[in-house]
Amino acid sequence: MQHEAALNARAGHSAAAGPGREGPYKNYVLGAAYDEMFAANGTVRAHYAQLDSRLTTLAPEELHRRQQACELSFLHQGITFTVYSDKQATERIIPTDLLPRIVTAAEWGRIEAGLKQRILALNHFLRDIYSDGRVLKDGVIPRSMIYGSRHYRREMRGLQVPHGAYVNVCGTDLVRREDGQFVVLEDNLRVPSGVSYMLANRDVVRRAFPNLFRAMGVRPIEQYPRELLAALRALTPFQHDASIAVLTPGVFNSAYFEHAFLARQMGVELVEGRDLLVNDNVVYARTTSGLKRIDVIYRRIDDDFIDPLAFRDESSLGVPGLFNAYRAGSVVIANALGTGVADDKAIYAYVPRLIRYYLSEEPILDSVETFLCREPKSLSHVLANLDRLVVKAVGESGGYGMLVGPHASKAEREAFAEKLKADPENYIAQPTIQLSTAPTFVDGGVEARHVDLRPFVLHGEETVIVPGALTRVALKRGSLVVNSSQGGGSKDTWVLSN
Amino acid sequence: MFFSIRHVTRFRYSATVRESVMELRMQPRSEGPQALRSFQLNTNPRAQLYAYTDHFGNAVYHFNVLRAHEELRIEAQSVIEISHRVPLPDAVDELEWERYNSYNLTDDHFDLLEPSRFAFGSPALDRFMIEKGLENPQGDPLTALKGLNRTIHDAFGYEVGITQVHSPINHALEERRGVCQDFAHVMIAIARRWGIPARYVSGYLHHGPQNQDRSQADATHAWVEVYLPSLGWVGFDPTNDVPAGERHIRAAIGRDYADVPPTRGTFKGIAESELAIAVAVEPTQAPIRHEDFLRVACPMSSPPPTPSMPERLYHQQQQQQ
Amino acid sequence: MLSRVADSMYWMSRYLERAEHTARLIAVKLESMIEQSREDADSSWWRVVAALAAEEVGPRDAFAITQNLAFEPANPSSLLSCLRNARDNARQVREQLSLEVWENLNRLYLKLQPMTMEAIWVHHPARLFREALQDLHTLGGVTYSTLSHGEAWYFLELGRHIERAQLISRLLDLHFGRSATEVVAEAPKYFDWLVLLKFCSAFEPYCKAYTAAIRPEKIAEFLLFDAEFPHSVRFSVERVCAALLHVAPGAPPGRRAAVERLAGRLKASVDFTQIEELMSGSIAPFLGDISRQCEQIHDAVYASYIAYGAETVL
Repeated sequence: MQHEAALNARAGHSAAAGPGREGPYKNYVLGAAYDEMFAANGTVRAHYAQLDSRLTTLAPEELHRRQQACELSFLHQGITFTVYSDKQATERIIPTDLLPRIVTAAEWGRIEAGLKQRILALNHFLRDIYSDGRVLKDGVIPRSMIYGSRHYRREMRGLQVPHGAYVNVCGTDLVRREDGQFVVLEDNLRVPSGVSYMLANRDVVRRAFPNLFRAMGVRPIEQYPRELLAALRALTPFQHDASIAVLTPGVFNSAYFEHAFLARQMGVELVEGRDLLVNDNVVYARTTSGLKRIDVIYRRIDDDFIDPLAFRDESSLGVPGLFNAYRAGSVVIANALGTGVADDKAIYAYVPRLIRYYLSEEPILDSVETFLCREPKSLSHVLANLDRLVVKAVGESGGYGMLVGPHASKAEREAFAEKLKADPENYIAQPTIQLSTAPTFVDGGVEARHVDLRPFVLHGEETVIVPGALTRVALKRGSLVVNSSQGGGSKDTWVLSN
Repeated sequence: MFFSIRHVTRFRYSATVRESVMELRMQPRSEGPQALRSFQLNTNPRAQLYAYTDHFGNAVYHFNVLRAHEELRIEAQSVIEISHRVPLPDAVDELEWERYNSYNLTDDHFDLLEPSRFAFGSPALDRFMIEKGLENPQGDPLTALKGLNRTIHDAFGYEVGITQVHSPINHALEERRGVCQDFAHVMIAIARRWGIPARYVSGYLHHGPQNQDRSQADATHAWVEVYLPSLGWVGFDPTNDVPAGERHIRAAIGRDYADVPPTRGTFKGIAESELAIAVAVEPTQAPIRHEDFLRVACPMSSPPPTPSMPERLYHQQQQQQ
Repeated sequence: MLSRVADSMYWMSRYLERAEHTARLIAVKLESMIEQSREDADSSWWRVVAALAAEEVGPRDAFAITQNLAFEPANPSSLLSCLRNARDNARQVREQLSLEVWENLNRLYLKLQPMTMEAIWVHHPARLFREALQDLHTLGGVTYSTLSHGEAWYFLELGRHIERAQLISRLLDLHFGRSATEVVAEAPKYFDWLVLLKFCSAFEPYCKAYTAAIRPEKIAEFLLFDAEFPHSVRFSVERVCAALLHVAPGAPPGRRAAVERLAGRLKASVDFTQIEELMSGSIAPFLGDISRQCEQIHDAVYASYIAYGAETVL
């Protein structure tokens, strides 16, 4: 669950007085960010009212007890990631905060419509750039951005994918701006992860607050594995008889538990590259009873490593000849190869244009304003405003090659400006954003912490978005870094039915 | 005129291997003055062959062999017909440089102007260009390219064994010696610097008795094609300081060697592989030569298949008894 | 199930059985040393070392030998090495195992991993090994009750019992085999027979079957042919045959036949041979033959279900 956007709080806004209540909220501080629960004047938003009354009647020890039960439950289900060193194998859980993040039916309706629109446009885009390239001929996107992208796979040109659905599973990160609107921060179209936490969180939080859950009419999400299975089945003519496998890089991958979890929930085989072989363009798994043909592969291995014949030849994680079988149509791979070009940071800025171009519609969900430094006017704006912008290198991830303007020293900004001027095509810039805050348990009380929202979109024959999401929370006060490896946790997300 | 080409590739393994998977780019292209009249491919052990056309329009064959084997032999036999080529003019006008604009350059040219895996800029290339006065092309593009062809030919010695199949361009630049693969990469890198789309051609060269070619007769060959808006794609052979002509038989084109290796594959097992190649290009009246000329070559045009993971796991487990 | 997963389950189980055997041999030997003369105690270590397929390193010094057999990382059959290998295999197939199985195995390994001889040697050194044995028994119980008895579980059974049959045969060979009987100095004494029974946790069951009179021939009969005692070769072979019926359910009959035939042949020889036939000198070849047949069964399982050439099934 990589989230390299370390967006920073805008300096200068005073920490307004908390909602002014006694009891659990005494340390709850409202800032410039939109708060999910409290309006600016300290009143509780309508959809949080029932949670509020529950909290004020719950004793802190009880909360603590439920939190511990939650952690134990995660351990028991194996929803952990294992940190390996030579001597130890310690299982860690990503902390879950028990307080659900609540989204109204109306808000969700808009999110859902916006995500459907987005994935439709992105699939059109992928189909286009891997065939005629109309979008390039019409000058909507510069050629060099596509051809120069590391993730553009020329091998995919002319290859047919079932239902034209290149992206079958997408995790889109949304944040809520200061004005209360949800905006898209980034799409994850390659091997998005986190859905197992979405499901696990629901499980524990529903048991922690069963009455509240029932009373509020929260929409169910446990059908996700069934929906995923249905989406995968729809990609092949074999449908219910299709032989499906989840392809994992192996036990040392940090998301391994999710691969195993999903395979188990769907009732399909979990395989590694070394379990598979390709003979005469057909993919088989090596089982004790003989070779078993595989029709659909839900792959959690990146393009680069999936086939040493077609791509990186040092890879021992992949299956030689897999791409040729894919090209021949004898196996379906979900997500298709080459989708990474569409979740490139630079392409992100063009997505609104793509929505207009392919769908003749206005984007329902806004994107964060993005300056492409390859454009001279944008570059000068960025250079003039470095102290207020977050600048990211297009090709990098994990927080490398990034400048957080408000946080950096003058010297750092000047050094970065030189890098920008030397290679402007490689950088984009965005204004800093205050992620919204949500009530979170801290030391026996409830405090405001920044959160984001990652719903999961399934797209096979049709688009299905399970009414829920992984809400990630920055557990450190004031921090906007929701990344699990840097002090982040997660929450259950309650989408209300009315 | 007609040429017949026989290209034999033999992999020998130091131990039994299994599950070989191999891709081949050996079928001569059929376009322009070159037409493919027949093509046959045989493998030993026998395998079902599959084919597709890659994004450069190259015909790619592939197959796999599951069972245990110690040798893999691939024989490609083709007959092509070469029509008379219009000879290159001595020069084009200076305005040709202006014609490298977005109107004339299309999507396909984009990749051929960018650095690629083997043909890329570096301090060693910069030094070479400065030394040979190549930072700026002299005259019109065609003249400059002819000069570049000659300069590279004169600056580098032809020697097998100095560079390897995966050698980066710097290796040859430092040694000033190499083989056709290296010369082609250098020329491509410089042409692209000049803003001229350039691509790598893998194929065969007929060495006639009167030709003064440096390159090996019994091996595949590599040269360069560059794009001139007035003339289209023009071929140059920097190894032999000639333009690509009626003796040059094109098999595959790409950005550089990485896109067009004649063979590329994997196998399972713990073994070393030894590669032997034989190539015979003859006008069809001549009889086909026998295999006794097969010799073990440094793998300069075909990398040995890469051993993939596998067997290792099982062996170790059993030995733990 | 995937061949790779079967391989890991099988080897995890073999290593755990080996670890249990090792822990028990060391514990029993250390405890029995108290009742022997110094000479006898030192001289009979060789059997333990040989039983555990370790090399004799240096002097017959209980401290050094125990160190080698228990903790030496360079010894692939040391207790710690066995546990490490078992754990490595387990984590490759973590999702096949229950949380209880994984936690027990992991905890046991982490407990033993930092142990040193110095820490345990002074006070009651056998205790650590008794505890390890206890933990391994717990692990066995948890494996039995928290995993479904499907194909994966039967690969665990297969591994455990092929290993056990070989370990017991080897142990018997060191007491009844050529070197044991022909070289007088090395011939087992009364006390050694007692210890042998304890090596197999067989003392009380033996007494129930034969009374407390320790007679070598009866010991051999018990450990080879008793149908009910879990640490007899016959019992282990019967479990191997039963497990083979449940693995690779989808494999074609021809493929299964190769493996089942070998297992059946071994079963017949332990079901129908009588101890009287063996006591006139042919026990050593018989034991060697059992070991060999176990290896053949292992090879056949691999050739049919795990490491088969893909071309043979298409």
